[in-house]
Amino acid sequence: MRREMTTEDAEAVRRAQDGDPDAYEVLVARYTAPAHRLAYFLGAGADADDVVQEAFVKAYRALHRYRAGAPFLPWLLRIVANETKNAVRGRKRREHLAMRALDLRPADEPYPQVAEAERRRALIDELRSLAGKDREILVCRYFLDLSEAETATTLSLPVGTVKSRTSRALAKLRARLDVEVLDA
Amino acid sequence: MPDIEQELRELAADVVVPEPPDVRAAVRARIETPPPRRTLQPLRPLRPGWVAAVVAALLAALLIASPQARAAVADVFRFAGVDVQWGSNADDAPRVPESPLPGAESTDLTAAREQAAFEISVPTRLGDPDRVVVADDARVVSLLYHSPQGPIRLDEFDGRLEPIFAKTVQVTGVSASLTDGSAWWLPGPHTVRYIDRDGVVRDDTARLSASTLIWESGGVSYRLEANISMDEAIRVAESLEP
Repeated sequence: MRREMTTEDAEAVRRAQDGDPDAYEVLVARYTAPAHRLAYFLGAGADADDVVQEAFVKAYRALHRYRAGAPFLPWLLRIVANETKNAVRGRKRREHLAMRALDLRPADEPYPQVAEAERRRALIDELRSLAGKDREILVCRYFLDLSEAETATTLSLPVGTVKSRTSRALAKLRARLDVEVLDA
Repeated sequence: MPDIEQELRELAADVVVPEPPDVRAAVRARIETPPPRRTLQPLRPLRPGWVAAVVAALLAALLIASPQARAAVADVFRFAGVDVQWGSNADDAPRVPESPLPGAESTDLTAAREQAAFEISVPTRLGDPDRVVVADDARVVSLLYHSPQGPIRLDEFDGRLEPIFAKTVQVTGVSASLTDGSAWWLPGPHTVRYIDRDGVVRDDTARLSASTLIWESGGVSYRLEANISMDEAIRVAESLEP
């Protein structure tokens, strides 16, 4: 998934701003998957589908506030993140759902090495144990493949905060996983 | 030593995510029907040139201070996530609101910083707050102080995407300059209401506000409410530190 602001996007946004629903539908089709993924990982749970629908409707009505030339996806994702909080009231409840979202696929076939499967299990457990805000940043950076700037827009954070929190969280993960290796 | 960033990217493929929905038809049906009316009409955010023009117009209205001149000025304008509207009933709200902001709870600075999506700053001129309240899942963080001049309240929020507070004023505000931008000063008591995440103005949160300075800095909007002069409010605003 690569999301530079393509000329097609820019054109679709411009036409949607002029009230062309066909043009907007192109954007909806194109960005439903990342929007849904974000809602799910931020703890939308069973409401993820509704959150996506609501976010696209709100984004359409806010299109006049969209700055031409800015990338469309992070602008949309920011509305998705807001809408997730709207749909699932209570930080604890969202947190709980966000944890449950971090669930590993049961392996179809055993990993070539048991150690690898264990390492992944350990990594997901450590990811769960991070503070909510740090985890959200890592989810955006690595599970949605967003850049630091895109993550900053999505989560309404300054880029510097995204940078510092990312390196802090990665250092934490590294340290904890190393300890586990030593313990093993 | 495996690269942890690469490991995380690979991990993404192993996490179960439900199939995304197809919302095209539903979204289309909804955008083709007009949106429900809001209490305040949605506004375009003001562009800097516009702000200057509106500021000039409002200043003129303040100077002339005649109802006719006021009527000629826009009824509502938006500044730093706050919608300001004219109203003759601007000062008949209760001192204590029927209902506080949704989900308001007392906390401390450290916990508020963990919860809020934006950076929380503290005015060094006032020092550490006596109380910190987060509301609506940390959409608004309030620093509260006791002072000889009475209570001081600093609301911090992200007003870039949508307005968070609606105010009804009888007395025109004036623009004020901060080192890194402009601010808006609303003198005297006026009504303030909370606008929730659905864009609904919550009448049960209506209360009488003291003089207020509104400004935005680094993507965060601020609302400083206190019985102090505009100059003092500006000194507080300029002493903000992360």
